Parts: sequence; C-alpha cells; structure tokens
Amino acid sequence: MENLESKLKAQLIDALNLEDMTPEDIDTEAPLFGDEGLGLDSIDALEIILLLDKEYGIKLANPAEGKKVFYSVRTMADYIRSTGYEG
Amino acid sequence: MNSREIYIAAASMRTALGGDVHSASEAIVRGESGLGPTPPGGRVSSRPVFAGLIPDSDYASLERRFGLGYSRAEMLAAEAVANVIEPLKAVPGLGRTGLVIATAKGNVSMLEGRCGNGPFIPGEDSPLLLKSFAERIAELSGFPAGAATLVSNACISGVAAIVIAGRMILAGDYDNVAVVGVDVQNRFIVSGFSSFKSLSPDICRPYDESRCGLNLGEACGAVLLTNDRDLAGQDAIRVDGGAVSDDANHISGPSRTGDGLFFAMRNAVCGAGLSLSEIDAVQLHGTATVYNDEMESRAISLAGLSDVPVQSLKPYFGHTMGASGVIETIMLAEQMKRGLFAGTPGFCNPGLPCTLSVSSETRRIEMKHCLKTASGFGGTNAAIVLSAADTVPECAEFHPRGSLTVRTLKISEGRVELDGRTVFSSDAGFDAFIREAFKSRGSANMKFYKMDSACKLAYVAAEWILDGIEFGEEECAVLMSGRFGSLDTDMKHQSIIDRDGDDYAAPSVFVYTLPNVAAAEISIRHHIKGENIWFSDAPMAELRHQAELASARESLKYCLVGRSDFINGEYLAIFELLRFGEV
Repeated sequence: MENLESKLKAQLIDALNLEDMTPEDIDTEAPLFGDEGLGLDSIDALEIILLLDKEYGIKLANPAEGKKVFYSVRTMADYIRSTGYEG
Repeated sequence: MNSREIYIAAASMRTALGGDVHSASEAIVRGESGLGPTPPGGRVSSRPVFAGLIPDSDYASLERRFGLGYSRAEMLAAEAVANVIEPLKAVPGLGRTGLVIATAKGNVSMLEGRCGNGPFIPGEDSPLLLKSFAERIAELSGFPAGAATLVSNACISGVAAIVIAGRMILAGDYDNVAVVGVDVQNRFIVSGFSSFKSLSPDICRPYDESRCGLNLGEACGAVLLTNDRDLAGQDAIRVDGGAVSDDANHISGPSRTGDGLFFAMRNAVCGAGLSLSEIDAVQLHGTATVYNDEMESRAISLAGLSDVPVQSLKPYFGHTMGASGVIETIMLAEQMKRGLFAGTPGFCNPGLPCTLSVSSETRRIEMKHCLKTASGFGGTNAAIVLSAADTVPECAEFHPRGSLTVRTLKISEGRVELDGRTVFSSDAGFDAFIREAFKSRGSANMKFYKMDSACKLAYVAAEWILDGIEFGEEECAVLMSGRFGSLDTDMKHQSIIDRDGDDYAAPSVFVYTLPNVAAAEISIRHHIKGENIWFSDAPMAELRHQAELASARESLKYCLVGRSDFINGEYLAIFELLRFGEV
C-alpha cells in the first residue's frame, strides 16, 4: 500500500503550497510539524483536516486529535487505512 | 479654552442585547446574555450556530428610517453616529468634528453568490470597497462624504479607532471625533471561523478550563470623543491613553509570551501618565479560544495585574469583531460610573497558565482607572485607559515628531524600484514575477508561498525597503493602506463556500481575508512589535501624518508606510520608510 503514502505526499504539497517540493523530498517517517521536517503550523493542520474530509471522507473534528495522526506521512496513511480506506 | 483631555461625550449601541446603552448595561450586571442558537438555514449559516444576532425586526425598522438601498452594517453605523452627534446638532457644520469608522469586514455580505467566476474588480463606487462603505455611512449620518477615516484591523479595529481618534483630537485635527465600530454576521465569517474550529457549540466560557471556542456576534457601537468638557458633561469618563502593538508571532496564533498585549497595555498606561499599579480593573478581549485566553493571562502577569479584577463581555454579546472594542468600551464606562463590574458567565475553574482575577458574578469595585484591551488576527493588540470623572488627568504631553523619508520603494508593471532605481524586473505575470523577486533575495522562508498575493506583494516590498535597517523590536511601526484591502482573497473565500458549501471553507484562505495581515507578515519577518494599522484608501500624505501622530511615543524610531493593492492580477505597491526626528 505504499502508493497511499505517495498520493498523500502529492496532496500535501498541493494543499499546503509546499513550493519547489516533490513527493520524493518528503520523508515518509519524518515529523511534519515543528522546526524539523516541513515546519508546518496550525493553519496547515487545519488544511490537513480539510484534506482528510474532502479526499477520504474522514471527519476529524478536534484539532488536538490531529497531533498523533499528523505526526508523519506514515502515521497519516496508517490512520486512513484504519478507517477502512482501500484506495 | 479646550483642554487636551479626551472625554466620552455620548454613546450609542445596538447589539443582541437591544438597541440602547442603558438596557444593555443593566442586562450585563444582571448576568443576562443576548446569545442563542440561530435557526437552521438562517442567514449566517446552514447549520445552527450559537451567536449574538440583531433581530430582523430591528433591521426592518432601520430600513423604514433610512430607506432601501443601504446595507445592514451601513444602517447600523449611520444610526449610531447620528445618535452620538445629536449634541452637536446646533453647531453649524457639526463644528470641527471627525468621523472614524472601525470594521473588520464592512459590506462583505454583498459578495454572496457573486464570486462564481472568482475575483473581479469592482467599480469605482462599489459598496464592496471600504472607502465607499465609509462614504455611505458618512453621508447617511450627516457628514460630508470624504470626512471619514476607516480602520480595518481585524478584531482590534474598535479599540484602535478610539486610539486614532484620540490622537487626532490631541494633534488639533479636530475638536470632536465620532468613532463607530460595526460588523454584521454572514456565511462568509461564520464559515471561516468554523474552518478554524474556533466556534463553541454553546455559550462561550472565557478563561474556564472547559472553554472550547468563541461565539460570533453582530453589533454596532458609537462614541463621541471630545476635548470640550462642557459638551461632555461633568460625569463623563475620559480616555486618558491608548496604544497599539503587534506581537510578530504568527498571523493566526497569538504570542506564547503575551509580550505584544503587554506592550500595548504598558504604553497606554504610560500615555495616561499612570503606572500599572494604579489600574483598578481590566476589561479583556476574552474570546474563549484556548490560545487567546492563555495569551491574555500571560500578558496580565507580565503587567503585574494578576490580582486586578478582569472580565470578558463575550458571553453577553458574542465576538462582534470590529464593533467589539467600541461596545465593550461603552459598557466599561457605564460600569465605572456605577461601581459595578459585571461577571464573566460560564467561568468556574481557571484553565490558564497564569493567574487572572475572573469571577462569574458581578463585583462591586471602585474604578478610577481601567484598561480596555483587544487582540486579533495578525498578532495585533490595542489598549486604552478609561478614567473616572472625579480623577485628576495626568496625561503625558503629546509631542508628535517630524519625519524624514529615508527610502522609497515601488512595485509595479514587473519592476521593483528602490529610491527610483530598478533593483529587480521580470516580464512574467504576477505569480511568477513575485516568486522570482522573492527568490532573488536569497530567502528560504517557506511561509512566503502560503501567503495570498496581497501579502506577497507587501512582503517583497518590505524585503528591499527594510534591508539593512536596524531597530529594536518596539522601535518600528507599520501603517498601511490600499483601495482593495483583502478583497481579492475575500472573493476567493466566498467562491469556495458558494461552490463547495460552508463546511469546506479553507482556513489558509480565510486567514488572509483581513487587510491588516499584510502588515503582520512584514512584522513577523522583521520582528516589528510597534503598531500595525490598516487604513482604507488613505493617501500617502495621510499615512505620513498618522505616522507622525504615532511618533508621540518616544521609543518609535521608524515607521514603514505604504499603499499596497492586489486584485485579480493587477498590482501596485508604494512604500516609504520614515525616520522620526529627536524628541
């Protein structure tokens, strides 16, 4: 199911306006938030919540829940699969 | 002879708690709220939200008074202004009276259903332009059309407008200034705050550990400020000092230290000739979002005011955005006269990093000097000091300084010109042009790419004009203006919700639907914690004048002033860096 990870990377680049980045530049295991990784912030977290809703039909109402789910591309993909997604 | 004190001579307001000052002030000390669930499929949201709306019947009677053809916000503002200038009716031409209008979103409701094809350039007199909004309110309330100054600084607009109006009186521009704050609710605003997950499903609970967000509200409030004590009356409350700051932290997340709000409170108290230990009570912003309330508790702690009674009026009126600063100031003045300080309903257990003296019950307090604060998107903060009539005014001398233009910067037609010399040019369209211009500076700031076009334009201008200029964080201010403000992005936000539904508003778009955010992006980048204010369509000469009035605060060395506009692919930015003379 590696292609869910690749698809997510492309969707993140698009949704978060990650200029000059390609899916290959994003490490599947690396933290997305904080000073390391992509340096994303709270607005990005809200955009990711929207992305999960629009693309995967997942409603994550509480941004606090997102902390674990959005740790890395891997944790996001695992979470999406855990909801029964089979894309 | 007129004094240099500033008095609140008259007040008027219409909110979810009714159409007059007296009944609202009675309601809050009794703990009565104007908030409630909106009907499903209502005018502000497809789903019920908990909010403080003005009843449709009030608008119907305003329509009977003003006739059709004016927006709800315009009618509310005209009514309030007409009420507060009533004492001046006998004076030919209203005397030397100015008008300052505060709004976060003006007539943005008019975009609904009109943005299917994305952004468009509205006509010269379109009420979508804040300048036209101001002119229509001025005319409807009896002022000449060009008389109004409009401030749009997110949720501090109302308090910032009082600060600006006060300076205009101190500088001798006017003897009296009517200040009106107004915002009405709509799908545009509700869907945006909803995308931020910041709306509370029930009545908001400022400072409480269980708080989970804010309630939006709509309101209008006006005050007449004057230096004429005879006009004001012997029991009039004074506005003794005021200040605006930015925390230069993040466009939607307030400072984690509270320093920006602390600076505004400290500077306001200093301007009033007081020390923080003389403050008897503080009316805070208190939106009941997790971060706002945390930040306020830290700022209060920095100011050494942890034991001083504080309140939030949001559970009574909701967060009424540009109106909040004015209606809450009116309510604070009423409470000072009565010696009753309303409680903050819903507060049980503190959920804050620092101590605040909050109570859910009304307290009897003698209030000689009080602070009113506001904080908003863009990291912007404002504070004013209100003083009781029986206190002796000790305001600091008001000494605006002259300024010298040390640099100029223009961006237009694919060209960046510094002091008249082309420093970058490209034939590409705006998106590629501004990206290349940014990259040519060698910066790796990924945040740039997330900004909307209006912010990118102003940000790139600042990259050149502030290059190599050194100042302490409180030694610089940013005053900006423009014709279109955030309209290009407003239209994008509206087109998203019109197309996809209110639930699909994009937070990264909505956060740029405030014109002051461009100044905030510059402030974050250059660590500027002096004031940030956005004026609608002010000529450069007016911005320079406002900068000089701001320079009465001695620690200010520089002010970046500029007009910056982006709409539907067209753009123009003109900036000047001003340096102030010695005191």
